[in-house]
Amino acid sequence: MTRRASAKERPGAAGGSYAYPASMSSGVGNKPRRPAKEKEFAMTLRKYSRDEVCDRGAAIYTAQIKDLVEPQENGKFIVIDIASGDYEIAEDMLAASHRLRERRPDSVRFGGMVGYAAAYQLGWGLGRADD
Amino acid sequence: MIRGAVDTRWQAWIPVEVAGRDGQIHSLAAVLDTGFTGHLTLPPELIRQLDLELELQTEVTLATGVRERLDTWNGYILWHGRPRPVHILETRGTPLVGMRLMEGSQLTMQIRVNGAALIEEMDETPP
Repeated sequence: MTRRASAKERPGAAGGSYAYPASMSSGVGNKPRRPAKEKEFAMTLRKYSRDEVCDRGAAIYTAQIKDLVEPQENGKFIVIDIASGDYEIAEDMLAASHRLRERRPDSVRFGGMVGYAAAYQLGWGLGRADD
Repeated sequence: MIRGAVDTRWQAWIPVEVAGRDGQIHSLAAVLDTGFTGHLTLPPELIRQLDLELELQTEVTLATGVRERLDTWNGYILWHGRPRPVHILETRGTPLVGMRLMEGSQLTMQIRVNGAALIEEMDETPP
């Protein structure tokens, strides 16, 4: 991870005072200053539209990966670099993405779940990929 | 222990402390959604303010069965007093806390208006 762990230095602890919904946005402090140099991988990722990343990720998965990993890896997270076709599978998306980034810092990443139509559910619907 | 509350629409609000890229902590309230399998959702304007780092693109299945494509951002939140790395999904509307973030916690809720929602860290020892 490239982020600083400066959260530790913060005074106070979790579970302190907090804003209710109406005042949620007022709980946000001053806008942080953007570092002079943007992260390169973020720029790389932004070269592609969201749809492009998802379409290419899904196409690579179906054509090159699916038969190798289903059904034995079903339910695990997969992160695919749409530029190289390289991928990582892990129990959680953070680990999979982190490992892929370590190997391929310039990767353009799509995240999914093996055997499922989408990586996450947001409310329960017809989420199975066995269509 | 993290203390939240049930509002007049029986939604459970819990406090979340998110770190911006500069390490500053921002406090906000999020609705606990047991139907959400991820960590956290935040609205676009808040993600811009926190200056988070884009990690990947992903898809979620909504309750209607419709799939939605979402930007996924790297973030840290303070959870049980410690920084915890999370993936933050960018969605419009109310911030949501999902079950992946709740993993390892025990939830106790009084389901009535102004009832308490308490989140405790579970003992690491398996039952």
